[in-house]
Order: sequence, then C-alpha cells, then structure tokens
Amino acid sequence: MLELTQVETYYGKVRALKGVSLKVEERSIVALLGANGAGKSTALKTISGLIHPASGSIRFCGERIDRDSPERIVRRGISHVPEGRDIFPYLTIHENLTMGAFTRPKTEAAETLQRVFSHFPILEKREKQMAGTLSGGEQQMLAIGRALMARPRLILLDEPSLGLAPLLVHEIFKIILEINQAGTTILLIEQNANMALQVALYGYVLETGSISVEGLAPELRTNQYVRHTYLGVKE
Amino acid sequence: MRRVSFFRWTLILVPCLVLFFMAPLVLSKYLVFILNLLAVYVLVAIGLNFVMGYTGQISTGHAAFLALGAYFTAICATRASSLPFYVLLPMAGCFAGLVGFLLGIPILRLRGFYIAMVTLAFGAVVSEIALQWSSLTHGDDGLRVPSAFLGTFVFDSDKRLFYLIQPVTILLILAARNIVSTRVGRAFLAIRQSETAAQTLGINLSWYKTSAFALSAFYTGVAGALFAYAMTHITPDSFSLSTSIDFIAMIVIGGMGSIFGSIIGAVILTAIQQLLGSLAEVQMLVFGIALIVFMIFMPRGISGALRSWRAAVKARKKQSLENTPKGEGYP
Amino acid sequence: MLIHIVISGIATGCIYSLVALGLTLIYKSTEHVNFAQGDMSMVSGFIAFTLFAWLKVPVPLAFFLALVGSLGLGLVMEFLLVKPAIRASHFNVFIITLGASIVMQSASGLIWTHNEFPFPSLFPNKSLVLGPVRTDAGSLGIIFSTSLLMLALFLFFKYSKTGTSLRAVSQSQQAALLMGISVKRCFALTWAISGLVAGIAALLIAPVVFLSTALGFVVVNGFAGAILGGWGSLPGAVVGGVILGVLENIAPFYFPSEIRNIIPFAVLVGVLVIRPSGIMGEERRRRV
Repeated sequence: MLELTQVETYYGKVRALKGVSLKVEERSIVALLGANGAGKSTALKTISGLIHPASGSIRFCGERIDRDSPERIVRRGISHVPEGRDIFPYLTIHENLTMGAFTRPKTEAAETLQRVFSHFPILEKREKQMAGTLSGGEQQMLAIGRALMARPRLILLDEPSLGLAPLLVHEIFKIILEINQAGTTILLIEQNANMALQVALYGYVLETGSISVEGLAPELRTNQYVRHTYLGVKE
Repeated sequence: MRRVSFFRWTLILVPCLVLFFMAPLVLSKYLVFILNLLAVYVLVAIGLNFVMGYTGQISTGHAAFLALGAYFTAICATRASSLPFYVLLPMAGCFAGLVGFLLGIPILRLRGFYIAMVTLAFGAVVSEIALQWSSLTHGDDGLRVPSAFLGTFVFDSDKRLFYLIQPVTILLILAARNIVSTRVGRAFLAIRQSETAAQTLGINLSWYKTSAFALSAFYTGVAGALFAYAMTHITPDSFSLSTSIDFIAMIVIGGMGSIFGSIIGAVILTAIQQLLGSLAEVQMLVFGIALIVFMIFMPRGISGALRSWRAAVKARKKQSLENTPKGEGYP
Repeated sequence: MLIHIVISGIATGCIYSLVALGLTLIYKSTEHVNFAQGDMSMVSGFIAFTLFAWLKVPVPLAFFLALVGSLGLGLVMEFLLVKPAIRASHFNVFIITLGASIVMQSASGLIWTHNEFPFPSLFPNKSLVLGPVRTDAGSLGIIFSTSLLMLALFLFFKYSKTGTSLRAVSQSQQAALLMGISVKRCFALTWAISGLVAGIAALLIAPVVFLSTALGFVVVNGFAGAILGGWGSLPGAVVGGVILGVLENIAPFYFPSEIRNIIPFAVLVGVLVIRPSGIMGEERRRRV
C-alpha cells in the first residue's frame, strides 16, 4: 500500500534519511524502531508531506505522493498522529475531533464521531472540555481519535506510548489492534520496541538514517542484535 | 569578519587616508558638508546596528538620541562657552548613553516588538519635548550652535569641521570594530541568533541588551553632537519619526550586523537624500519600498549579499582547483 | 455630564478596539505584527473618498465598495509582503510592515495630498437624551456597529468550520496541516478579515477626526489598547481598547489638555513596566 524507495531527506543541512526503502502492506501493522535521533519522526513527516524528500520516491496505492502538499496527502487517506500528540490545546475535544474531519463531508462527521467515541468512551465524557486540560493519556487518545475522524486508510503513529504509564500503554495498544482489525493500516514508530513488535506484523529498524534490520516481527523478536540493542535483553 | 593581513591593509589604507584628508582642499564647500553629514550617518548607523544588527532588537525612535546629543551640545556650548569640543563630545555621548541605559533597563527584558513600540513612543516624546520646552530649546525656532574650537582655532567652516568630524568618526569606527571582535561582540551576535540559547551559555541577557542599547545611544549621541556642529542651527524637525525610519532603512539596505554595512548604508542614505532633496515625499516612498524589497530579497543588506557572493566565488574557485588534475594549467 | 464623556470615551475606545482586533487577529494566527494596520484603515478611507468625492458615486455604495476594497487590501498585503517572506523571521516581517506603512503614507500623500478632508458619517448628526443621560447618535452608532461586528466575528470563530480552523491554525500550524487544512489559505483569510476590520474602523473614525494621511497613527492607540488588554488576547484587545478610549476622554478633565496625546504612550510604558501581560494576557510559552 505504501512504498518508500531510496528516500533521502534533509533536516536543515543534516541528511536525516539516507536511502530509506520500506513497504507497508495493506491492513497490516508495520513497526519502525530505532533510537532517538535515528530519523523515525523524519520518516513519518516525509510521508505525510510536512517535509519533502530530496530524492527517492514515495508511492501510496501506486501513486506518487512525495511532491504532494500535506493537505493533499490527508485527502488521499493518510493520517499522521505526530510526536507529542500536537492537539489543539484551546479547542474542546469536540472541536478537535471536528477538525479531524475537516476534509470529509459534513454529513459523515456525526457517524464517525460515534465510532471514535466507541473506541474512546472517555472522550465522550469530556466532550466539552478544553483539550489542553486533559492528561497525557487522554490527549493521546484524542490525537488518535482525531486522526480517525478523517477515515484514513493508513495511519502514521509517532510514539503513541511516549510519556504514558504502563497501564495506559496497554490500553493504547489494544485500541491500535482494534483499529487495525477494523481495516486501517498502521505504520507505527516506537521506542518501546517490545510492545511494538507484539502488535506488528513486520518491522524495520532505523539507525542514523538507514534501515539496518528488517523482517517479520517474530523474527525480529528473536534476532540477537535487536534483542540486545532494542529489547534490553542482556545475554 | 575576516582578518586580512595587517600589512596589506596598511598598504592600501595609508594612501587612501592621505587622499581623503586632502579632500577639503580640492572639493567644494557643499561636498565637504556632505562628507561631514555622511560621517554623522555612519556613526548613527553603527550605533543603531548595535541594537538592531547585533542584538536583534528594533528601535523605531533612534532619532531621539541624535536629538539628545545635538541639543545637549548646543545648549552646553551656549551656556558654558569655555568647554572645548573634546569635553563636550564625550559628554554628549554619555548623556545620550545614560538616557539609553535608563530607558533600556525596564524595557529590554520584554519581547522584540514591545521594544519597537516603546522606542517609537520615546522618539515621539523627545521630539515633543524639543518642541514644547521653548525656554530651553527655543522650540520651533531652533537653536544656534556655537562653533567648536581648539585653543584659539575655531572650526567655523565646513572645511575646518571636516578635520574635527572625520577623525572622531574614524576613531569611533575603529573602537566599534574592536568591540565587535571581542567577547562582547560575539555575545551580542549570540543574542541575536537565539536569546534562549545565549542564556544557556551563561550570557546575562539583560545586562548585554541594556549595554548594547546604551552603547548605541552613546554613538548616536556623539553623532548628534557632530550633527549640531555641522548644521550650525538645529530644529526639532530634523529629529522626527521620518528621521528614525531613514536610519532603519540605512542599516537594512547596508546590512545589519556589520560595520562595513553601516558605511554602505550611510552612503546610500546620504546619496538618496541629496538626489531627492526637494521631493521629501518621494524620498520616503523610496525608503519604504527599499525596506520592503530588501527585507524580502536581501535581508542581510548589500554587505551581506557581497559577503555571500564572495563566499560563493571562493567555493567555486576551490571546486575548480580540486577538479583540475595535477600538472595541468598550473601557473 | 460625566456619563456623556464616558460614552464618547467608549465610542473612541471601540475604534481603538477594532484596530487592536485587527492586530491581534494577525498576530494570533501568524505571530506577525502588522505595523501597517492603521494605514490600511487610512487607505480604505481614501478609497471611499475617491469614490464619492471624485467619481461621484453615491455614498452608501462608495462605503460598500470601500469595504470590499479593504478586504482586497488585506489580501494584497498578505500576497505581496508576507507570502514572499514566508521563511523570514518576525523581526524581518515587522520591518516589512513598517516599510508598507511608509509606502502607504507617502503614496497617499502624493495622490491625495496631506490635507484633511471631511468625511460623511454613517449616523445622523444629532444628540439624544436617554433619561438623565445626554449623548449623541454618532457615539451610540459607533458603539452599536462595533458591538455588532464583534458579535459577528465571535460567532464566526466559535461556530463556523472555517472560523474554528482559523483558531486551530493559530494553535498549531503542524497539526492543522495534518488535518488537511490549508494553512496558506487561512493566513490569507486572516489578513482579509483584518483588512475588513480596518476598513470598518476607517468608516467609523474618519467622520470624527477627518480623513487624512495621518489617520494611520491610530495604530499606536490600537497597540496600546491591545497591550493594555493583554497582547495576544482577542477579548483583551476589545477591553483594552475601550478602557484606553475612556481614559483618553476623561484625562483632560483632571490634567492639562496636552496630556491627551501622550496617554497611549504613557499607558504603553506603564503596562509594560508594571504588568507586561496586560489585563487578560496569556503568556504563551515559547517552545524551544
């Protein structure tokens, strides 16, 4: 569904992505792992159009999207939940979600809203509250819910577990599985490699801008290097 | 700023200086007056650069400091006629500098455009005082400025003033170069790039910003004193908002953050003022357009553009040298 | 008697609020400061003037066209001045608007001269007596139209999809982009709205102070009002502007009359020294 070929992206003068190639099959969950500064967020931003690659190509359902504006890319069906959630702090939960459906027809919004509330009942409870007053976990749910409002075919998730208590992390990943089972493809960035590899079908490891290891999730979990570097297993 | 070899500089500079100081002997009175005015503007530009170019604050009322220096000199020279110029000039500078420092303390801890607003207000207030306090400043009629003197030698003509104004200006330019290349200057530049980052380096933001402002006021104050001598008669309209805007245009065109840029800017300001002298309206229009066009296309001014061009030429030369295989085309 | 003064003060303050509103709208969404906001009013006023005085267009039509023009002026400014400088710092853009202000003033001076011209008012010139209070239709008219405009803007921003998207853009450009919102179009729209607000301000103030190229100086009152009310806050802009207007009208009764001119400056300096965040100010934390 999504295919990156030899993507090179610069962050200012720094070459953040060096010839990155990866594939995301439809209806799967793919994990992109790596340490801080490896370029994972840059990869997602390049896909969603916030940054344009210097060279290489990105194809979504066969069409090239690497020169598209972020608005175009959202309309194609890719939603990006950025690092740090980036919700609109002075808008209510309801307004945040409505903004998520910006590109969709008005008549659809009410139904999608109900669907999102079924995934995240707490958002319905606090519907009129200002998003900035929510806790970290609630904001994460809002951010994901907001992305769902656009009825995307592919969701890019940037570090959904960051800063969340372990119990919440489990919640979030349960919901990620639910969303995937309902038909949405997911490309997931995580520093928490453990959780990521438990839900993912396929994984890539990014190190200083290049893919160093890739494979089916079960294989990665047993891969010596991955276990040592990212799964914290000392042998 | 690049440090070119000292000897190369003196070889070029000395004959230029000699020629320069012979100018009043060959040029007309008018042209000498223009050169004197140019020197004043260079000092103002350098002063304004300390605030806008180096620390990135915006001063929209800088003509006020020119006024302070000019009126201080005129009033003191009239009331205490025994004071020689080499006492008056630094005093005028210090007076303006002190006012700058006092103004700076409360406002410089605020964000960028607030300073623009307050300096705008300050400029208006000083202009208003110059107009209203007629017992001191003779209001609209303006003040006559007694000529500067050295012992029995009186600088009572433009040509004679040349030998007072230019050396003072050159001295202050050299002093500015020194300041800029020391730790202080680098601190200023750091503040302009990022106040937050500068703070993490232990740079005491308020102190530096206030000092930059005071220093800028000092330079502009001295320029004001020289301006008073050059004009021999000062009135409040020389120190209006348009004057302050002219000054900003000067450093935007010349290039902020460089002494060379200040000089270029002053030259262009003087040139445009003289060319469009009678068409004051068109002058302002030209400056306004210049501000817009330069900020969009050449935000680092002419000196900045020259610097980038020189760097690009150097880089290309380096590349072509690397591309030529050894032994071919070697001189 | 005092109430009469307060009411005219509120009317003057309403105009300042409009200028402050225009400034704050642009600042909130783009974080740019538009020094030329007052001059946009001035040019709109002159557009109306050219239409009804030179081209003999009936005044109501001239006013309508001038408002359309003011909308366009906002768009033109955004297109010519801000968009090309899209990567420029706020410092640079501020200077660009400074340049624009000067260009507008001198170009207008060349076209229309710096003279003062009488300007027709939207409201009848008569005094009204409401119970114990004596006031004039003009002041009430200004207060009424400003309130109407503010209500319209409030409803627009709070309840319409476009209005909410403008609010969203002012809170996070990145997130807005990821929602599929065209941030560029939002910027243009914000400038257009500010232009319209400037145009309305012109129609309200020109009859009172006469139309001239110096009309742009009202931007200083606008800034003072906005800072007093809390820079960056829309309700603050309204509150600050009105308070400033009242202060300016009351002061000449207790202080020498020259004080009227320096009140905005005094307020500016006072607020910045005592409480920089103003009355309702929000200190936006700067993300490093």
